[in-house]
Amino acid sequence: MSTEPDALFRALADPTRRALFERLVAGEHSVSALAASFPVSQPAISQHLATLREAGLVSVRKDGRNAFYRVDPKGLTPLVNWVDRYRSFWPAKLDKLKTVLRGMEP
Amino acid sequence: MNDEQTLSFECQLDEPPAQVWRALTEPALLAQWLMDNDFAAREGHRCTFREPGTEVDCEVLTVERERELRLRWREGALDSVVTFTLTPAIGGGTFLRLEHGGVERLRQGMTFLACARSYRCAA
Repeated sequence: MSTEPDALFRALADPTRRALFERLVAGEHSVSALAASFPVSQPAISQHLATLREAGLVSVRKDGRNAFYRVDPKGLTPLVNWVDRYRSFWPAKLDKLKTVLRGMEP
Repeated sequence: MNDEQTLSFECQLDEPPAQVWRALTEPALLAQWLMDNDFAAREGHRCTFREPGTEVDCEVLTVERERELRLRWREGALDSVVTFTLTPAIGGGTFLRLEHGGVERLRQGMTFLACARSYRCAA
């Protein structure tokens, strides 16, 4: 699984992949079930799913000739880390800003 | 944009907008509260904010004196926008709002994040 932000963002850039991901949020689906509900070919769906999988956003389970995909939220780790970091970064910086303002000549 | 897509912070400051603006735009003052920098309050200016473990490539997008400062805020692949908005407050102080949100692909990622969080809650 890749945790590189670049792979994550490439995977997110495409509207079909976003729609696929959102479908998988609702639950596990087979490739054929997904292909039946999207206006693109099954090979195209498989390619999009491979990209999502490389980015660590979905995982696959093989059952006989069928492949079932489900969401793997671990793929969003770089983004979660980014959000968590800035959630504490800015309040700490704004506290320092208040100190600087108090020390300035008006 | 909703809360899942933008981080936002608000604070009430005793100092007037002119003084807050100086703290947001003068490199020496910025260095005291934000990071070391080669900032200039000029639209299109590119600069770097640095502190140990962090290096941010910055581009000044909007400069509206004592009202709004918008910065492109890039750390490698994480490309975002920081907006400071100043509003005069009753009593001579300043209401400061800081929003940190995405340009397109980061915003898409944030939507995904909200989506995955709801998935985890539902699971």
